[in-house]
Amino acid sequence: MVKQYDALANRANSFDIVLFMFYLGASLRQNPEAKMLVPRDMNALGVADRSFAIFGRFRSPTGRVSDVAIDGRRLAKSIARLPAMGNVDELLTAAAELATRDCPPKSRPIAVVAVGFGPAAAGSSSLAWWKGDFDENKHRRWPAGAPDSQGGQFRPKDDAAGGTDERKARLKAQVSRRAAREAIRIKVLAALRIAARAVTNAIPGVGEADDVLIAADIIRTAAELHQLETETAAALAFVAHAPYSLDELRVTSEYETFSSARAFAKDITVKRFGPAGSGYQYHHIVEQGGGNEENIPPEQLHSTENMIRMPTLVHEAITAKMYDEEGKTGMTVREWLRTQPYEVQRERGIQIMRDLGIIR
Amino acid sequence: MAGSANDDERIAQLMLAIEDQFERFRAAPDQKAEADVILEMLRLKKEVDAALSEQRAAVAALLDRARQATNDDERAAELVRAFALLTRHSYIAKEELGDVDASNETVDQRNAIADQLDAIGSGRRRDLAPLLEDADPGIRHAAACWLLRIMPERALPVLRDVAEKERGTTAGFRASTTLMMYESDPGLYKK
Repeated sequence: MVKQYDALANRANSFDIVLFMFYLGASLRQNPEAKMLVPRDMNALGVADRSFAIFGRFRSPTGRVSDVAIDGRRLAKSIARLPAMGNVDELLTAAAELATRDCPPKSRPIAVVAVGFGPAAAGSSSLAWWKGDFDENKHRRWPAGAPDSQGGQFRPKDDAAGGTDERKARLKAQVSRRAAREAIRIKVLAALRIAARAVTNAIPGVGEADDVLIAADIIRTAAELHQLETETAAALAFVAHAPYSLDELRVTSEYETFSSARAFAKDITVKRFGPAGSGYQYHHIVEQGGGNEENIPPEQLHSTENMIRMPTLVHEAITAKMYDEEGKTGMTVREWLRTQPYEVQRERGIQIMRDLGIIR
Repeated sequence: MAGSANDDERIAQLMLAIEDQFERFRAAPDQKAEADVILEMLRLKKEVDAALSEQRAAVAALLDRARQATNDDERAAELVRAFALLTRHSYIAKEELGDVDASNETVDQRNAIADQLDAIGSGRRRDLAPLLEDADPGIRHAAACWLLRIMPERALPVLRDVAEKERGTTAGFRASTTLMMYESDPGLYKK
């Protein structure tokens, strides 16, 4: 993995961008049919064995950030029409236009993001982009001509053993579904208690009036279950795409702080991105309230790093974990965490979401 | 471990059936169909309640036998069985019913049983040690919590094993929480 490069946000005459887009343009011209772009015969330039994938990055009206992969062939055709030495603005515009066609409705483009793979060229000014060493043995690809058009794509780390990575991903998906299920179940049972009470309290011999009471409570139960439908749909749709990166769940990638939860709500949810959305809530990774209000600066508690958008039911599943009583001490996880510093609380809050298969 | 494994399975199946009915409710074409589904859900819920009552009765019976035991060995054996059974019930409450309050209540009852073991005297808490090898990771975790003070050399590896191998499950979460709390303040486990 090399580095995400936010080209639009940093476009001001950067030599790095020029160099990066030059690589990009050259690799696309070399291999216009490939989705994963692998430059060839570029040893003279010291850029052999690199590949790039280009994404358009969008923010939805609810604040969610998502990436749409740009079709390499279409981008290659667009670039082929440009002058040979690749004007940066034109290259970026071509990429942004293609991404915009596939972006979710009402979303606005915020960046063109390139993710590259490969060794850094010695002495290159683009060294700053590269992180770690790229080892082909650690990032193996399917050979050319592999079935299902997988040739050239990265293969699972342990595919020889039947795809351990895949199994882990499946397990994670099951865990996250279970997280939503626990919350659904408790709400269904709560809704049923309304009707169950009416049935239990029915007085033999009262007849029609009694039937009317039962019918009324069943209607109330139905209303509760209907309310749960929205939350269920939101939670199931959310966990179907889990696990997420923590950044994907943040309302904005910018680090912003607020003096209180109310200030966060006013600024983020009212003025800028709207409410969390139907079936969604904002979740504090490190909880607000209690001792935390006194011991942790409000700017840390109410920041875009600590508050993330989450389906109500998944939020409740996380909260349920916090209320779980430790085996012997008689303390709940939450009670103990509140005696700990912010960093410990945050680490545990993130671990809970990881255990639930919500984040990577 | 002997106990109410069948009851556990029955509750799990009934909760799945209730979940299916909720799916039917979401697809119901009219109020009449919705009411029919709700009545069916109520019937299933009554069966869940009955199974939970049987579980409580099984624990009460074990505690009765412990009270009536004629010697300490017999009494300790019944208490250890009740400890394991209540641990399993706490998992049923949390995982199948999603009811963390009921789960915590059961954990409190189980902890009271561990206190009764201590009250017998002569290091009876050690009688929980065979549970460190129980097939159920939740029971292994519970026993390890109560043995941390007197036999950390056996309890800690069990906690680490459950935390690692059961990651993503309730047992794994509970074991990692115990480890975190113990490593931060072993004094919490001095009792």
